[in-house]
Amino acid sequence: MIDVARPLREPSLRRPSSLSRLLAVALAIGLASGGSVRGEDSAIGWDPGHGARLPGGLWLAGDVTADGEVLEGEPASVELDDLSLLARWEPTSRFAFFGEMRLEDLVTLTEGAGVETGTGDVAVERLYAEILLSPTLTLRVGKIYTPFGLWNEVRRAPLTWTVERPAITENVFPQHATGLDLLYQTTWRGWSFDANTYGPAQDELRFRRTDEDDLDENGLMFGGRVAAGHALGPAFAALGLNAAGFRPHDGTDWWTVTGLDLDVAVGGHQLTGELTFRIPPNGRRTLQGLYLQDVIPLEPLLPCAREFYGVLRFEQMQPTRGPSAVGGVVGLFWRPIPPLVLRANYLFANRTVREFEPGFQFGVSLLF
Amino acid sequence: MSLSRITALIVVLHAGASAPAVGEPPGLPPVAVVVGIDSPIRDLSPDELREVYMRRRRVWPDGRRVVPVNLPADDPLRSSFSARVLGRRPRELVGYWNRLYFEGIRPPLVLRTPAAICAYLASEPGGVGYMPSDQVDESSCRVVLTLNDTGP
Repeated sequence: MIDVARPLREPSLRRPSSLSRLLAVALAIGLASGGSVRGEDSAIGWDPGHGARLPGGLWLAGDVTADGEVLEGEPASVELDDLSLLARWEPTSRFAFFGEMRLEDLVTLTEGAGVETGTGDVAVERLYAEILLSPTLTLRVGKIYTPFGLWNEVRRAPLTWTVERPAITENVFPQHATGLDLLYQTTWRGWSFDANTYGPAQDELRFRRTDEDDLDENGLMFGGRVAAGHALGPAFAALGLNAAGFRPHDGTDWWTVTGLDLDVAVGGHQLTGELTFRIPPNGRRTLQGLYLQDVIPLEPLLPCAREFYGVLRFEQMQPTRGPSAVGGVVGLFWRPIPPLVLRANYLFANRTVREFEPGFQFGVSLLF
Repeated sequence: MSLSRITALIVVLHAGASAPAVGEPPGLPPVAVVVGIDSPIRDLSPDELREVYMRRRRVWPDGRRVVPVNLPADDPLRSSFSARVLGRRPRELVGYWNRLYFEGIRPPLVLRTPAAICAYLASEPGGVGYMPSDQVDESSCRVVLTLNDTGP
């Protein structure tokens, strides 16, 4: 197996996170910003698969996911992979807190090796305060998923279309940004515009690191994304431009990552794609890749199947070393009832690289 | 799985599953975009309406919460409204709503009938709904925008 995405390898000492300080500032800003106190929510209660709405503007949700894979040349395995909790609290109309905590790597059953208990690593995936400064301007303070491209902000089961994310979206840039995130959204003469800027830090905020192949996410980062969308005949198309620079805390040089993303809805299809380039400080050993994915409703073929989709994805990646990898995914996504999501897909590729391993995969998720 | 089989599967899926292109169902009356009778909202543009129904705009300038209300997903007017205002049919927005779910932001509230929408909006000053223009209950709702077949 060839490593394609681990440019920053020195083990790091953890800095004390500045997250709590940032959240305290956000709380002060939010309380000062006023806004009407949220009224009684007419939808209070638990809606299986969509979480529970509680009095006072609190929303709680969670999910658990088990994945299995039969990869070419490797023993089959089944893993209880994720247990996640999401919480959002909107004390006023302009102000909200959001948090996501994740317990991962729980139990793995591997063919020929039996049951193995994982490390049960706990990670604070996101923790931020959100302030609606105006109808078009939103400020987030805290830790967010880096708003680079389309996939990274959804990034994991249960509601991703395939078991694994496209290889070019994984470990190519810091997946979490910590600090300030300013988002401007508007529609003008039928054009939808988004502009997003974030910085100044990365922050993995993980209680202990278990995967040494992950990027070291403790350094500085600045980035932004602009996107525009408009109807084109029967389609709606949006194009996004992404750019970010990041520097590990134990380094002095900056890495840059740039990309395009495309989101097209037409005739029931949901087409998405991303093209990403990562350039190291010395300009050599550039990593680049793309994916193009089509999600197709299958209800016309199987009228009795609710929320049943086919997924087709083409992927290409030029690793930092060796020839490029080309492949794709053929998959099915079925959500027969809101709390249950079933996914199965086959990944084929001309060669095996990290995060791009041919074989069959399936996943079962329960949403609370 | 061979590449030729995968290609064949792709062709079958595309041939069989492609939904018809977006078009207006015949015979639908003009759509009235409504607010509660006592709402401070005086007018809305189609651009603002898209922001509201995509949940991109969640607060009014006066700080009031924006509360969009939808008809059920299988209502022909819902599909027509979605195509006309949002530029996409409801099923083409599944991925979008999945992303917002992960931020704790829900799609618009769903009420089953125009009468229920008007009754709700009468008590929700930040609310916005839509319905056939000939079903507006003017004792509880006020029209702020009318969408005709050829545009607003």
